[in-house]
Amino acid sequence: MQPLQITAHLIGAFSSHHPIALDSLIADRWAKAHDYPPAALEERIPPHAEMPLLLHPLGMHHASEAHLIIQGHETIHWARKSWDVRMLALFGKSARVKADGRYKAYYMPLRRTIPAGMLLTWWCVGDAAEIAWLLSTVAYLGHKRSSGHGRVGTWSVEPWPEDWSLLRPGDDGALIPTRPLPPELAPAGWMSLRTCRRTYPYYRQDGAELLAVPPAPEILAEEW
Amino acid sequence: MSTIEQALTFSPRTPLSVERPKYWSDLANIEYVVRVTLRSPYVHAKQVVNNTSLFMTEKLFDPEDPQMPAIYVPCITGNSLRHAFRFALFTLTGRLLGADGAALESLAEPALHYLLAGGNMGKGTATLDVAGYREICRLFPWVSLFGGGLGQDILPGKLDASFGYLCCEENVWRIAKLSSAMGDYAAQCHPANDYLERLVLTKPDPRRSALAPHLMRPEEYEAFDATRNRSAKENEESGEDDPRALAFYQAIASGARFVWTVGGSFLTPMEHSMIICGLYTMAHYHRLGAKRGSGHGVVDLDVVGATGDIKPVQEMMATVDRQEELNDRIRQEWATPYVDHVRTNAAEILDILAKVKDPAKKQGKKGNAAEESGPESEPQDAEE
Repeated sequence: MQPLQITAHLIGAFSSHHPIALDSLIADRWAKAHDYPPAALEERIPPHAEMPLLLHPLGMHHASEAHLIIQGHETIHWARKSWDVRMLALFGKSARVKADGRYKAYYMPLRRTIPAGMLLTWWCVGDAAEIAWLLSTVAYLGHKRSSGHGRVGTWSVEPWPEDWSLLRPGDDGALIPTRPLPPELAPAGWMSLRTCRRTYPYYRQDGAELLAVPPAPEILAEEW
Repeated sequence: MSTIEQALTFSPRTPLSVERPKYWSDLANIEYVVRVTLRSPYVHAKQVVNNTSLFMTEKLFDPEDPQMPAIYVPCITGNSLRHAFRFALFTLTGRLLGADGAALESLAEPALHYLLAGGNMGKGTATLDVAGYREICRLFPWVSLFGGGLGQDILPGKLDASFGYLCCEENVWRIAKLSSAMGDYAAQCHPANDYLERLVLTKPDPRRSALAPHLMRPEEYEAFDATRNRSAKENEESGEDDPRALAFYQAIASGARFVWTVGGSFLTPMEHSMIICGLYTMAHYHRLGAKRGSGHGVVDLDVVGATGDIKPVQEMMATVDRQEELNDRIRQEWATPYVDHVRTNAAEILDILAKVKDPAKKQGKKGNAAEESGPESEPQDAEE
């Protein structure tokens, strides 16, 4: 295992209300490669020891959250339409369209983030080849992936001289977290905190604790 | 454990030159690059301002020059194209399931929703075991491809559809990452605004046709006749829509091209076959976007590239010169597994779908008919 920097060169804006963590991304792909069933049916957590990432004694992997500078945001809308007359006519049904309940039509806002240079960057310590294979199956990032948001143009996995998977030097040389860290690992006096889990799956709230987290991304221009 | 000395740069869904993990399965990661050529203006509404429907746009910055202001580039959303893809595949599946359609007409409406939307596998509190899920996915491969629902939970699908990127000056750097050939084409294209046009459509009023006096009820026609010479202002004051109103649409002009990608990761051969079937059925119906009924959105769809670990496709692309020949060969070699599957298992699929009844009919209640039903629910007798 070696320190790595991983970069996603996006070709479109992505939508995500939470930071995109590298370990959860890799665990998800690992689960798919092992044909795990959907989590709604059976939640099988990919074993931490099997991940191609260095496991820290405190229970998390040496893998950062996405680092980015935000160039701007946009809000677009996505629509979900009820099935139309064509569908019903095909099966000899009347033209009555059921458009309530589960089939209700939506017109929903979706806030998207445009990163500066279209770059998202992660740092980790891990097996480069296996990580590259797993990431090669990731074409979209964030929310509403299957509808084309967060399209990745190219991935780049490169050796990195230092391990920045937990902490990295900031602009002033002081160390800043690159992922949620327990207090014993956080820089002294670090005040950016969030209640979350220290390892995947991050969507779950059990085991959440107050952790030191990376600072909010810098925003170059806020346009609506 | 392997280490690297130099950076690995790769596109999604491309086989890598480094050692594969031992557990790597034969499931395919594949993506087709589809060229969408417009044969008539394409209407895809973003929002309506006054009486003009604006074309969908995407905000874009130049990654090489962050100081440049944002631009808005017309696009077709992945959501829209995914819907068209799903509808095409549904149409094909429906026809395969019932040759004469008679078997399908007896199905309840929730069963059709099940077919279309990927399916909800039970009631709000339902549970489904993994074996049951896998069996349903075997019979209904579109559940694993398009995803579905289980009670309040979402079962993700494998299909990924990108946005349709307009071949224009602003998108060259993006399209080049999807397909070098299309990138070269886009480099010769105009700025995006040159492709936008404004359409003026009238709202037809059937009451003004010569047949109206014969087709309408006399009292209805007399009421209309008394108001036929009212001005637009009078119509507005009376609260009726003005039948003579004009509607303005922004559209992308004929001849413009979009690049669209569709694919998935860890696809089974059946799911891959479904993608091919969906693409070619979509190409056959060849109308996308809004205002299709009045001739808009006629497109040619061509598969111009494929990435992933489907070697036969790449070999085909290397040996076949003509686009039409490539299209034919992809269709012949890959579309058949799904067609054969549905034809072979049609009786079993219809049997399961027939168990999905419409509770609204039975109980006479309004509301969501499929809420209380699903293939896992007990068969209900429609005669009760």
